[in-house]
Amino acid sequence: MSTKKEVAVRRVRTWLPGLLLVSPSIVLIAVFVYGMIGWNFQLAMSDKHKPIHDGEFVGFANFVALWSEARWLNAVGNAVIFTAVFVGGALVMGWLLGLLLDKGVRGEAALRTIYLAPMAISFIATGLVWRWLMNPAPIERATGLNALFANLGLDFLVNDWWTSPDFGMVAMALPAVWQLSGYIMALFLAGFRGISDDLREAARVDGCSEWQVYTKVVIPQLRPVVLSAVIILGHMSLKVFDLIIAVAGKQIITDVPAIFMFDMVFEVRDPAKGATIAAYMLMAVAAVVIPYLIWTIRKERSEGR
Amino acid sequence: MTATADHAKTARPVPPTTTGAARKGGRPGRRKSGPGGRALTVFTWAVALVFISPVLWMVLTAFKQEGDAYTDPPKVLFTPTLEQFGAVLGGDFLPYVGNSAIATLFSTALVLLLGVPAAYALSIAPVRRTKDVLFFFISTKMLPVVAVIVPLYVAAGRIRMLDNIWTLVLLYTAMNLPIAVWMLRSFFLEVPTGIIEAARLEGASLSRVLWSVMLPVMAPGIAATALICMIFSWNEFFFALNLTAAKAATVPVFMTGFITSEGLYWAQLSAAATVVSLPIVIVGWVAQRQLVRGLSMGAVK
Repeated sequence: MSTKKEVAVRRVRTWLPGLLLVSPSIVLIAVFVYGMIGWNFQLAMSDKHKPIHDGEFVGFANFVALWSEARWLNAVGNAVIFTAVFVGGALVMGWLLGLLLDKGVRGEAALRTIYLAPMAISFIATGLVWRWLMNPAPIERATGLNALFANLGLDFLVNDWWTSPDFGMVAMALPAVWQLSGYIMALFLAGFRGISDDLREAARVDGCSEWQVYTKVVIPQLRPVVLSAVIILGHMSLKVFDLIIAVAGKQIITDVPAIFMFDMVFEVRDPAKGATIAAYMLMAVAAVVIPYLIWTIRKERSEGR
Repeated sequence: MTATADHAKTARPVPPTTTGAARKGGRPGRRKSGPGGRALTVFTWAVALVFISPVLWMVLTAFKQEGDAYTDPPKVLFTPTLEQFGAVLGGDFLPYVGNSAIATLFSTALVLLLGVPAAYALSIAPVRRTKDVLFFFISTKMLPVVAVIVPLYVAAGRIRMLDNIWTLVLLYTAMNLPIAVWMLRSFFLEVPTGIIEAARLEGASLSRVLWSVMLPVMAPGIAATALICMIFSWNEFFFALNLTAAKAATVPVFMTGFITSEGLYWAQLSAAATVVSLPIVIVGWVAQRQLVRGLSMGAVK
């Protein structure tokens, strides 16, 4: 037997079992994730504007046409506002909560559970509570926050929440901030704990003030945490659907691409248009996530895993 | 800075400036004793109470009469009643729970069946680059489900699988598999390679290594992964809303219908929302550590 053949046999031996273990998952994901994504793009590039049409190839016509539609522009604008408030709000809240817990309080494990709890409950259930909290009804019938503000004499805070044409989308982001800030807290807490006390101590010995220790030592080290948090929050906000349906239902003030798409597919019954919106959403998420995944894998490799 | 009892448990009795404990990641906070620390603890707990109050309010309202749910200022003291729960459970709620249970349990079982071996292979396979490619392929956990809904709807319609609970089982499996593989792989990577090598040197087969050596070590990690998959399936709304109708609809779909039809009955709605959240709260209570760990890791829907 030649050594070449032996090497080949050994290769197969080390390879085959692993490959067999992975292949069922690969097949499932290949069909249901990548296969369907491919099909979605094919639909988006066709003129299948009614379910019964066969759909001829029309290239990027649907992709271009969308941008001349007022509803699409409104939905994209809303998604941008939502993303800005949601990402910014959850980062600030998560950072503050993390800071509180990092200082060393009693019952840290229980507090962590409390802060993470909203994330485990579905948006459909929590959305209901927020519907009550952010009830825009006139003040005689007000509930939740508006009633609270009125009773405390803070009438200037009473507002229309998600029915306000100007700030509706900002209000819509509040429950999302609430739901995710516990998760961001956990990320920050791990980040804080990863910074060695040596480093802080050394900075102090060198005459840095506490503020300088924070801005010059702690914050630069937290950059990867912030990056992960922004990516995770950002890609979630691009997909937001459940929350808006539960709190506001379908209304133009809080319209987003996912709801627009839902309407096109299941109400208007225009598969090509729905697929086009879905394709844009996919591309937006991919633009955020794929560089991040590559970065994560590279980092893992450089850490010797 | 003084080390408290459970600080000493994770950190060896060395000066507080060493990083030994930090590397482990399990170091409890920098504890402060004295009035400053106590005030901080009180403040932090107060913040936590405000934070969780929407959920507490939901549960409280569920035990109210409709009349008590509306008062201004809101009533904290009232005669509790199970009337609302009776109304929710007495309706046509139970079939939806059954559907949700089937979708959740079967898809989670399938995910583990496929995901555990795959994650194992991806954590030990000797060739690095191919491993990365496969891992990348599988770890598409962040891609939006909306991107596949149109073709799925068309396909399920063609093969007459719309409004069928097994369609959801299959989809939830595909939906959770990437997250599960991602999580399980990082748990596998934490297992010291020494154990595996020792078992292999003694001539244990791959399946033997997986079953008798890895599984016991991995049990908490697998539990955390399963919990996350169960939560995601139980809460999943988008597929359920779009691919089911009267027969196979799940609890979240029922809830939205309920909100539309009973929109002003806050007490009854709260009871329904409480019932929906209950399984998760119970599971989370029983396996609190796994839940927190799972949520902190695989939270990315």
